[in-house]
Amino acid sequence: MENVAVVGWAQSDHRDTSTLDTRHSLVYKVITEALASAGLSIQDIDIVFSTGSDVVDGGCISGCDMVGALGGHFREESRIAGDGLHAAMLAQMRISSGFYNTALIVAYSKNSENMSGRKGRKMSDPFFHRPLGIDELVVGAMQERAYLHRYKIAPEEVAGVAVRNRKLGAGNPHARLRDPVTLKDVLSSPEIMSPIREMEASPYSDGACAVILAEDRSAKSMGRKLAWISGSAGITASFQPGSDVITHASSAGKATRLAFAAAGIEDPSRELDIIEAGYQYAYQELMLYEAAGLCGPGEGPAFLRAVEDGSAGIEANPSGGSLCDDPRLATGLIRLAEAAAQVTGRADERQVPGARKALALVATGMGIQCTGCIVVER
Amino acid sequence: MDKARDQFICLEQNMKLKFRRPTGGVVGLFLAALRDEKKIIGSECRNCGKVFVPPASYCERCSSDISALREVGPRGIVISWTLAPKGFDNSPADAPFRYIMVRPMGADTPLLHVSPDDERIRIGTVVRPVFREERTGSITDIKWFVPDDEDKRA
Repeated sequence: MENVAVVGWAQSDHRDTSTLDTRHSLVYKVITEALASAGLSIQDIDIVFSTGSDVVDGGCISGCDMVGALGGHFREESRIAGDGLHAAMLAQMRISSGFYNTALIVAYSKNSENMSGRKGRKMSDPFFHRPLGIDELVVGAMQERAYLHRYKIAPEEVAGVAVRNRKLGAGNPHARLRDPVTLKDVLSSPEIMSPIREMEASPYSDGACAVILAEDRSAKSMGRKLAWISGSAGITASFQPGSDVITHASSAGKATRLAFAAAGIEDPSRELDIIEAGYQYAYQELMLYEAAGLCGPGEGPAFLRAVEDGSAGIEANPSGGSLCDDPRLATGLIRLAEAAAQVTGRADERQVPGARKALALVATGMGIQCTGCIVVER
Repeated sequence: MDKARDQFICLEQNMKLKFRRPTGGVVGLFLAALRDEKKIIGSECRNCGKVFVPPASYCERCSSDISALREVGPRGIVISWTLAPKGFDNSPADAPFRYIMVRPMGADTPLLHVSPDDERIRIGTVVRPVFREERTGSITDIKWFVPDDEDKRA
């Protein structure tokens, strides 16, 4: 099996409505920048993977009208329905097979074009949930209440997640929300679905990300620090919320266990330097720490405080994460780009000194029932 | 920003999609039981014995056939809830109302539904369904779940 490295990446500046160009131009721009960052041209790419949301785009098989913009013209090309981080895992498998040297992964979202309100209502179960208007916000709110109740966690602890990420996002030039907020700001923002408050929800954004993977020889010939993929996994729990235990992020638990096993990680809290986690609601960051084995059940808030005061020996979301911008389906791929940037010392103003090993993770869907994760290391 | 936006042509488009979904012998039977008998039906796995509601023709855990469709509830326990502060087109109830996750007695998994914005609806409250007078074979044939009067804790 070939070793696979992340050799190039680029992301747009994520905005609410400021991307006035077409999504075709948006992805073409990030692809051009990602290729330049790897010192490659599109002729060097063996296969292109892309993902976009049919519901956001208002058409099926998202990206099928974008083959030219994606660099997919008469090149092997696949589209997936899910976050770009899952597409990166497929690309990794293609290259591991030994039949492909390079792969380009592109994910995008132009949410501002779609004025249809709560888009998740068009994705939920058509028989039992859609007639009731149930979407990921409704399920997320019920999951948060059950989680806080189960472990006696105060709303302030969840609001603290938003405060921390917004502070970090202020230092990220790509972030959409770059103004820090206080605990009081978060706790006085409107409850959009109790107990979830507006500032605890990721802001749907316009944006795109492109990542390039390469096999061992091609990667090493580039003559620079590389982010090697040492483990990855994608797991989906039941689509019926509550069918699996709702107070635990079971899909993230299994996905990270598999990825850590592949990467030879026995104690993630000691061995990881960085975790970049994408999700929709602030409480989910706490549940994801627990699921990834960085702390015990219900200890997410204590772990976050240890991250904050440095005693955890790990940095969480140095980019500010998805509470600062959420170009849906690019959000996870951005985590991979950020993780790769960190372990290769190319994360600019948000660089964590000495970072060698990072976990990029994205948790999506009804009560974060779907998780993809990739471990990268120097 | 609006000025910048005005420099470009924006195309306004509106899509309407219409569906007619057959519900088959399992989901369809669940919906027919709501409409005709005011009963909630779950499916029991032939292999692991778990009882799923809403029912399916397969077990999502072990991919086995089901051995039976059987009545569950109608009373259930609230696993969690949230408050919907605002209504919307085809809202299942007048706002404010609550969404609830409720596990019917005899089932291993919960249903999602709605309840009135009633302080007595908490995690652990026992609730019962209130059916509509006119039923069409929809999950909304249950109007909502209310605290069960017979239960001491309610």
